[in-house]
Amino acid sequence: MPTQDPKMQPEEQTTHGQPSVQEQPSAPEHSSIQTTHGVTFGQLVFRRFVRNKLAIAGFFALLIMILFCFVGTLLNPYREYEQFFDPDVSFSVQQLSEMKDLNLISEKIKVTPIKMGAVSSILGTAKEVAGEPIALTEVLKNPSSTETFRLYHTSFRLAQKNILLEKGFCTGEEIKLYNKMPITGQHLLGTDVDGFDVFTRLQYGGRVSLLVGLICMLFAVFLGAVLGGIAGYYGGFLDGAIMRIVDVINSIPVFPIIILFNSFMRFSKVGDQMKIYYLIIIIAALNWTGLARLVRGQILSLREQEFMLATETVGLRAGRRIFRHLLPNVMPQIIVNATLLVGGVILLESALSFLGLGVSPPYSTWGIMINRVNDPLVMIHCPYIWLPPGLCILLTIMAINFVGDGLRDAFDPKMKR
Amino acid sequence: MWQYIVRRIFISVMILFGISILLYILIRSMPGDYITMMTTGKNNVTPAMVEHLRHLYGLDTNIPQGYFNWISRAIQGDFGVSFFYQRPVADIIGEKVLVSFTLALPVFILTILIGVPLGIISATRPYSKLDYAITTIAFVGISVPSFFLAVVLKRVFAYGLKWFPPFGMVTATEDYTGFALFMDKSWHLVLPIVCLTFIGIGSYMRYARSNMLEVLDTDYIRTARAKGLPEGTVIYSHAFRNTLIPIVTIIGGSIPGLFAGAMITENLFQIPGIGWYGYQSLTNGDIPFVMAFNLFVAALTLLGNLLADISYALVDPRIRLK
Amino acid sequence: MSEQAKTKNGKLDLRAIAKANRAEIKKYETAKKKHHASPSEYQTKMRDSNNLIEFDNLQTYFFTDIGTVKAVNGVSFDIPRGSTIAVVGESGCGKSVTSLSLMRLVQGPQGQIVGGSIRYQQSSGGQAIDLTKLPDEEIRKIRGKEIAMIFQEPMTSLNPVFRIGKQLGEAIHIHLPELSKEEVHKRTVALLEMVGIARAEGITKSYPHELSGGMRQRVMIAMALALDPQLIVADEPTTALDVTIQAQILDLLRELKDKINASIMLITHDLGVVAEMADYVVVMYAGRVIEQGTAEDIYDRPAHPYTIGLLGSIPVIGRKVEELYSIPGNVPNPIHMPDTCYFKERCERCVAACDGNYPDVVELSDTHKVWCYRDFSKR
Repeated sequence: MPTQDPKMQPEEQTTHGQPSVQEQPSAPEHSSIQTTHGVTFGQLVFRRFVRNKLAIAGFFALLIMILFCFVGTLLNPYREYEQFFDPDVSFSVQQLSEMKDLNLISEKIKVTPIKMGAVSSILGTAKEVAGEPIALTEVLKNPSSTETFRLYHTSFRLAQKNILLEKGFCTGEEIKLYNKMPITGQHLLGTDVDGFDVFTRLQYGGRVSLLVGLICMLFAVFLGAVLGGIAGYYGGFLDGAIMRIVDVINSIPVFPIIILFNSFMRFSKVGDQMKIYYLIIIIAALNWTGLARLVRGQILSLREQEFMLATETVGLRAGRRIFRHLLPNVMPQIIVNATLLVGGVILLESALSFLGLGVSPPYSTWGIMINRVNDPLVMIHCPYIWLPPGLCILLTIMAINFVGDGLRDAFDPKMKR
Repeated sequence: MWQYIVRRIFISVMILFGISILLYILIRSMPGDYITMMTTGKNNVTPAMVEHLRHLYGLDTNIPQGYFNWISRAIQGDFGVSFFYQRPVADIIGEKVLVSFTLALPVFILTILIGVPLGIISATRPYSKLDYAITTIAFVGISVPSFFLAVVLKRVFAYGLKWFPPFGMVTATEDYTGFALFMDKSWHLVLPIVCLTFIGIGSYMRYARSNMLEVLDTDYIRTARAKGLPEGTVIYSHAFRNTLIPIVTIIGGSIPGLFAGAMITENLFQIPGIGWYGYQSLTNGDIPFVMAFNLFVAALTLLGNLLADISYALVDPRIRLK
Repeated sequence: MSEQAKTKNGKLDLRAIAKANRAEIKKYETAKKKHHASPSEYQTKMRDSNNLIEFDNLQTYFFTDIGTVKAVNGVSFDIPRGSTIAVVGESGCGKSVTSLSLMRLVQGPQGQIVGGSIRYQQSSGGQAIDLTKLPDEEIRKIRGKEIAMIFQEPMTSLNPVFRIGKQLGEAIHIHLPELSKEEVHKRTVALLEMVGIARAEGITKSYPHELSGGMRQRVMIAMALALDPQLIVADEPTTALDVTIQAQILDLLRELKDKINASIMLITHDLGVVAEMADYVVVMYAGRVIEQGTAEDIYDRPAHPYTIGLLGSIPVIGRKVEELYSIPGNVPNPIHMPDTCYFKERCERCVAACDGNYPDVVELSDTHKVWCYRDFSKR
């Protein structure tokens, strides 16, 4: 996929006419290895994996990320599509005290005193001049003050907004979206251009990214393992046909094709939900080839080994031979590849969302959240809107790569250390 | 050798045919096309006009007929006229490929010069602190989305520190020539080059490292040590030459990719290369351009594979291509 | 950490093993990294001035994931000057690791020489040194020049990307940098001719893959002989070759041995080879020497049941047997060796004392030693 930014996959062999020395060494029969002291191959792999500091760090980072996205939302009072509001008026001390009594604002917030500046010669009205923010408690100590105050970085949820309107603190026109607001105790990562809470969106966006990666991987692994297995096991015409399809798909530029699909999906007004499903299928359909080739190669070399001859001599059925004797031996490679594939898919999905080609707002994914930088003001002044999702993508993919790499090393029988 | 190359080229051409058929069917069977896009929402467009336009753009044929028309002209080197730019597609591609190449070449050279040595150093001290540091950097490079890195670089170095321009290839308000133009372009290209290089070094570094580790474990390295060669000679002469074989393969294979453009990065830095134009055509439903662009990229991929195999035979004395 | 502590509820505690391994490996690696060892640290005295090499209680361990493998567990024997000594044993008995320890080429970081010494009598200067304590830079000067090695796998032991001439010439150049390019080349050609390679001039320009296995092994031998070493270590030099080629290579080795007056340490599991070549024989089993003596001692008067078994398992032309003898059972697991005779489980000549600790040495003659509880006085 040279059209993408150069992220080549050196582990993948280049093409069909490959010179023979680059053939992968045949896999030893991992699953059956059992040392005399009752240490199974699985335990050994586990030990080796655990010893790899980066892999363990990756594993925990991934775990935290999954918990953050799928369990963290339970602890979060805010919802995915919840917008926040901000009354664009100043309040008297009495109003502030009433609002506090109605639990609309907490006494911990700050307010800015408003003074009227000089009357503008052009507009004919006095311009408001905001002072330094002071604590609300300080203000309430002096109830007789005639000064007015504006709320300092305080947002209202929809229900609170309705009370504000009901009680006449402000009019509907004066209520504005609480958008592009910086980090406060109320909004741990501020709010974005639509008045959404960035932290909350991060959690829900992560769900989409992680799920798309996972489901795509499952599809691709299924396709790759089955088609690669069939090609390797039966050989002949089936092998030829499947491998030619693999050749064609491998030479198709992946990214442009997905963009193409997306722009047409946008045209035929496919709903966001459906769009994600289509996207998953397309990405999977374009990503199973590496795995198919790997499984085929492994099975070809395994088929030559004595233990497969033995299963044939014993008279096992083909299905049993494939699933009980061949697949377990290919499992390590499949697991490693599948892990790395998840990372690749998340990267692809986020790039599409970033380009505005995947799902569209108010749906949330990490890519869409970074997409906000298309507004230069957001890019320059509100890094809290786009930096966290970017770091989340980076962290997740890095964690997946660490885990995949650690698994590869742990499964490698030649592994020294 | 020549026989092998000819056979491989023949197979590649067959694959290209396959891809072109697949692509054409795909593009034509999609709901919505360039005409619909242009005419939707415009009240003064009558159905007759739409029909006329469809005929004009050759979209009124059925798919096999349309493909046949397209391929018979494409074989003669005529890839049609871009719907969007109203110019012959081949001309646009020829022009834009060079722009992409000026960006890709320095990236290519830097990536290898930084990635490979780091990988080798990392492999000679496996599991040391230095190895962990290099590995972590490599993984950041592999894992960071290009668009995110581009945004961060723009924010910090273009808008924040104002060291480099945030986008474009030349300063629009100046009319530089000669060396001044070269300097101006270089100055504009620094950020995209940094961005693409950082993303690229990771895989070279990892690849060099794992190959080096494998080579250091071989019998002939033990022989070299048994001869009493100093560790430096063992690593930088005996092991390095063998590590180089697969790396040269990768390098040879990625040369054609230099002309394919970097879609997202070119987009973000507004560099008018083939990647950017390709992206535009993809989102605009510009069928002739999309067909030609995708086939061009696919051909480069196939050429890359062939080059990889040939360079393999050139570096490894054991390989004779058959 | 004791062996017991590494098992938990009867199962291996892999975590404890990994932790212990880390500590051990670190200890030995740091010791090796010391650059400026003063000569007094590694200079030593030979027990017998006739000896070229004296292995003294050598211990080389591998710290693996499932426990410490004592690949060489207290091996002692001598290599007298100008003699051929054969180290015999099954695969995995530690004979190769012994030779790699001598060259200090044990695969780190998990393989480490943890104890004992290998004394070596240098010809130049006459100082005896302990190879196990030598700094890396010093051992490098000895490798290839004074002690050379021929490996088991000629197919993979030559660097595939360099021409034969370069690989041979390099060995000469590194130890004799004063020689000119032409002189090195002349010597290379002469060496190739000496090991019986016709067309030597042309072979220098060949790549290893263009040569047959036998040819490659000849090149390896030429490489070993390049600097007239005092000792040639041949680690199963014929195992990977065809039977006919094996005979040729052995003839070559024997012929050369007379020519160059070097000692040879021949590592093999082929007792036929031993009979043809060796002056002395060391029989190893599970990381220990179980019997050693002159070739006559071993062949005519084998004492250890294992040696007797080994000799019994060679087919002899002209002798009719129902079935070729094979030693029952398998080599024991190398990780948790009991402190009894390691061969006990497979031994057909056990006596009551065999249940006790590992047997002490029994000296049957000046040259013949055996580690066994059997009663040898009645023989």
